[in-house]
Amino acid sequence: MLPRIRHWCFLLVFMLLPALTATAGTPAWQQTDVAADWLDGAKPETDGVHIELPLVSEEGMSVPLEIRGGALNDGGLREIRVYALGNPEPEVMRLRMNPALGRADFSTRIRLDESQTVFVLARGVDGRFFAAEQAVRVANSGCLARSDEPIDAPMGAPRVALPDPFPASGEPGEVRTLILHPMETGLREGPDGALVPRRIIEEFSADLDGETVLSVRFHAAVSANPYLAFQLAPQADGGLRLHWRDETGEEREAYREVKVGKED
Amino acid sequence: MSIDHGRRRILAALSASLGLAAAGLPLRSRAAPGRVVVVGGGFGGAAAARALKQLSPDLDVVLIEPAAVFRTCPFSNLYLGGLRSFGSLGHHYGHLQRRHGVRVVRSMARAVDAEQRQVRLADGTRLGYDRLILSPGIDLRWDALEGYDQAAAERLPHAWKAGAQSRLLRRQIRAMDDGGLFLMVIPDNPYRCPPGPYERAAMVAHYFRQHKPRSKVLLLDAKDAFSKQALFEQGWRQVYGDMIEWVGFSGDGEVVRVDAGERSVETAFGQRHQAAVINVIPPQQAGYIARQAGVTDRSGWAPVKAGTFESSLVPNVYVIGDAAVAAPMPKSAFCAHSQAGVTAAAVLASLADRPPPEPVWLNTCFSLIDADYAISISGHYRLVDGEIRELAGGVSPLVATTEFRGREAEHARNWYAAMTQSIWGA
Repeated sequence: MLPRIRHWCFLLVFMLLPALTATAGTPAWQQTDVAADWLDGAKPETDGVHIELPLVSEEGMSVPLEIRGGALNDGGLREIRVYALGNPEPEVMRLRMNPALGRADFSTRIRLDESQTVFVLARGVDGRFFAAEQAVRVANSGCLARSDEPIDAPMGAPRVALPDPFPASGEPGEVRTLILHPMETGLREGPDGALVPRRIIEEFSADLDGETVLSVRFHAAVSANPYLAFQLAPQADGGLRLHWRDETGEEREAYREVKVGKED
Repeated sequence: MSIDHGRRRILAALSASLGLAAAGLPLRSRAAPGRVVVVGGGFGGAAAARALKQLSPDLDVVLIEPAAVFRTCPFSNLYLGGLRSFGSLGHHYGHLQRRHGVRVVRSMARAVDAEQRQVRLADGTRLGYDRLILSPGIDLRWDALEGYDQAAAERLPHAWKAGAQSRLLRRQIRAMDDGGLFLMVIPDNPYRCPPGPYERAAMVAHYFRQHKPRSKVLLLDAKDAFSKQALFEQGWRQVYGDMIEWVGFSGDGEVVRVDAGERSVETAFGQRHQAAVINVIPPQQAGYIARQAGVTDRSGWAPVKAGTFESSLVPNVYVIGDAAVAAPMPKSAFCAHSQAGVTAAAVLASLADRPPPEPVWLNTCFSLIDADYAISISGHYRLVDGEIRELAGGVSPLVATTEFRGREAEHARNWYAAMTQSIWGA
């Protein structure tokens, strides 16, 4: 009897070993196949994109995320995808960008269900992939727990802030955007115990003088009232049109004049 | 030093309040020779020093604190509202020194040499230690909010460390005209005392109701939700009508720039607000000595081993109170006090080469809405899989009688008296 148990234990250890070693020290993108189709066998490099999140978040409903993808003028990144593997839906957002942004730097706020590693994959104009990751400990504190958000909150008016004027022709400045929207995940129970139907903003885009310079796909892990700050490096005065569309087809638009500072 | 029997009984009760009862720690450990240096004489440090002497009377315990009188942040909002005197916030170290055998050194800790196990004081003195407990509280980050530095704080007070800043803010509130606006800038988490800004709003409104009924309170917040939010919003409305207005992050409440000269602030989406009095609570970090000792990470706070609060980065140094990363425990006075008890026991166990006792921590935070209207939150924490977890807790009910709110206000006053007595009292 005893030897057989020991035998089984050995077998178990052998079966578990690969799993154990895989999670320790293996990059996050290798621990999942959510991006396998996109990567198509490519092995991402590590120094083309950086992310920053709090090491510890006391409130998983709204965790600040910063992405630093560097300059876009000469080559640079064209697409960034954000993943949170500990969430029910691992994909957080996709950003497609055009060199007119100047820099692939973004700030947003995301939902993290539990302690986990957040990672981004980025693809450059030359087809190279880059990866970055960071572990976040989510220690939801009862002290900070928020009350349930309103259920029938409609899509509100957008807020936009941009430099007035932008520093100089081709010099990036930060554009901040925020729109009131519940971003219902479809996973939350309402007061009657039934699940509140899913309703999220799916698409956001920014057009500079008629050309799309940024298009974003949001998933349910983007915090309520989606906030996104990005860089824009206009060459000359013009117009910036921002557009949001949610799953029900409801849309909002904002238009801002872009002014570029004149060099003396 | 010996302890009489009656006193020992009281100590048993006290150590229970310090979270040691469930730990099953013998009240008097065998003589644990050595010296423990504690830096910071607030709710964490002073309580830790006292607990160490109570548990191990032969231990040499040195408490380093530059101030002769400690002013408590708890109840400092009541002073702003006119419900308490400034003097009532002060506590001195006489009893700790004379009756409890703590050596109180009135100086500033300038540097920690972890290799040599020495603390260097402002006058150059070096103090050796076997174990070091840092309880330095917070420092304000003068680089985090554009336009807000130490000079600006003389015009736009933070009053987030009780003392001269509290008096300055109180003077400004008293000097402003009826009808003037009181504006508060509130940071994102983590910061000292999560419900503190919202209690302060109520206390300022309390003063306005009596003396400046046409004045308003505007709160500009960098976050979308806050501690006890539903209870605060209900209480503000019930007691002060529409006097208090709160604007969260999504309503463009995040302030990105302040102008002390103009007495104005600017938000992330470009709104400018001017006010008669501006109270700026800026982002914060662990107190200076924690950063100097190398126990903080890039967050500016000190990561600790969850069971003992020994630094994750520097051996033989423990960090308790607001400076430590103790989430999900909030940065509160009660938590600092609770951590002090657990860490004192862990330090003694470490000196005696024993494993640390099983920790239990508690928290209760009362917030006053009015003189006879308080709300509270409590939490009970244990170690689960090597992490601190909140196992039980709750907030005051949303539906309650005025008697109930009044009793909570009474509990708040009793809490303050009992807590300060157990740390600085005879």
